[in-house]
Amino acid sequence: MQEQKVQYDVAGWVDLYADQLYNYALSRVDDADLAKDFVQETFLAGVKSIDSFEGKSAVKTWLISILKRKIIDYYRQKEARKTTPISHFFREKGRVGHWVPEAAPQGNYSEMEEAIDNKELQEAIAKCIALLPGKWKGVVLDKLVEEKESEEVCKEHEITPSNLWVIVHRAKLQLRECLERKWFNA
Amino acid sequence: MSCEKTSYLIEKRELSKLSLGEKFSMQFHLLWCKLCQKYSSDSKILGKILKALHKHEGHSHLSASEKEEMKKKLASS
Repeated sequence: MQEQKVQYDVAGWVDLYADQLYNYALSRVDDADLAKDFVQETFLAGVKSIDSFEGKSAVKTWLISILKRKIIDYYRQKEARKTTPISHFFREKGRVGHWVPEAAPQGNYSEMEEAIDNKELQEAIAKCIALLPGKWKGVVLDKLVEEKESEEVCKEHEITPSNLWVIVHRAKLQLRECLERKWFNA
Repeated sequence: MSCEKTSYLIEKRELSKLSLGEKFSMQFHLLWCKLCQKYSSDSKILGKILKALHKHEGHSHLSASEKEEMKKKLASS
């Protein structure tokens, strides 16, 4: 018996999905050219692996999953940059584990709460997210910005729940200080 | 308990249930540590700022010629 082959309008995908994929990539790599390359590669990979696409999910979901994989791989290759060491925040001598005075929270975020829909504040936090190491960035966007279920985030980034807690803690320490600097010292 | 551990538990609390022991040591530390109290309130607001970002996600576009370019590469693949 001959297998039934569905014909896909691959060029039509570009019209339908390119912008959505592009925005997705852009929010994760913060570089227009790189994001565009990712979109192109995603379509190419989609064409190549079209036989393994069984129509179980929507084309868009399937393409996004390819794109995600590519971005995760990209960051895996260039890890461990832009990480503020934990010793920047907490003492390693004397009162071990207590706040280093210069990095201690000022408790002045309540002033920012009123500006939560302010465009400049959003740009500032986006810049701070962009400064995070790649792996943290994806976790922060998925868990703290998009508020996905922890289980899903762990699966996608291939981490355990305790990895997630550690990454969120480290990322928020770094973001808290970064945004405070950008907002109050700008 | 250290501030490092306390700030960790402050974050973990948002993601998962703390054990009774964790809850107790965190609350006890927070009773007297002004800096961790500040961290806790800053962190909550930071969380709100991050969530608000989702509502304002970008609507960028690739140009028609960029899309045509993509189609060409696809056709020749």
